[in-house]
Amino acid sequence: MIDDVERLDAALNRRRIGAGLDDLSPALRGLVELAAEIGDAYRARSLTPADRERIYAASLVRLEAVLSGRRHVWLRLDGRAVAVIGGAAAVTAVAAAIGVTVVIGRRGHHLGMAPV
Amino acid sequence: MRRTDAELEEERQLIEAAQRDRAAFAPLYERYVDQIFAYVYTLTRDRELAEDVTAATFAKGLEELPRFEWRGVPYSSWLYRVASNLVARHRRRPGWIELGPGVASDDVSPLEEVERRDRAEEIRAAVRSLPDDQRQAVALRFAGEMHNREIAEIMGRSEGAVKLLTFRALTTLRKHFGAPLPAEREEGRG
Repeated sequence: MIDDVERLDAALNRRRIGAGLDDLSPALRGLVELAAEIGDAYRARSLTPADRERIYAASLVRLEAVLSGRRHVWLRLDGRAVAVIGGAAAVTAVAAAIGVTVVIGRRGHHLGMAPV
Repeated sequence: MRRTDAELEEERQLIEAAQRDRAAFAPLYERYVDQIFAYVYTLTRDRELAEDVTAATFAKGLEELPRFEWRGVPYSSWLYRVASNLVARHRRRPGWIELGPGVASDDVSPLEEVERRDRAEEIRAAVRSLPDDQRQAVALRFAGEMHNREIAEIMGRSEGAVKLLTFRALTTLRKHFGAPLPAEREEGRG
């Protein structure tokens, strides 16, 4: 079986650089072709335009939260550097101190900060 | 599918443009959002969580843009690493629940396009049904186009283990789909 594992790996690498697979057994060639199909499936569009817009908007909200949080952290307390250590409670405390609202995401999956 | 030098150069230019102006990040986002989402969905099997993690991945991408250094590999490699780390972080939290696979939909399109999309979803769903390690190895290798060494690093496994996971995953998927693949059909005719 180890031989098959190595043979398949070598074949996948050859395929990656566009080399031929004519010398492979039908079984291994089948696996290589399946691998190519998997790659195509993942590169295919799976989101609707509305999905993509929604996710991008969420990315920008998160980015703004991170950037504004960082700006506040570095600007507050007369320029003294503040290390935020700890979990959500510590973040909440710092956020309260610097005037941002901590928003717990749905089902508690994420912790985002938005400017008040 | 290996990137050509011209494609890599185009990507380098896109990144530099985005570094000068964040608004120019959109083409990179458009290029990779579907595959990062599909990858995260493969790992989480939870569509809503996959959207959250995808958004967090691109937020990180935007945040790190000024410090990003071009190393001649697709930008997607970096995104896959970020997404993998975010998923791993979520997995360490309590309350991680894996749900059954859902189906992504899109606008109405010609029959051939619908069939192609259905087949792609069928394959992604099959990958999602694999054990954790196998589906991550497969997604990183064939969707992320990563080398065994990079995958091993992300997964905290040896390169040999990654090869074995890939072999087992493909064998399982091959059995799952059952029907002979093109090469075998040709063999049968010959």
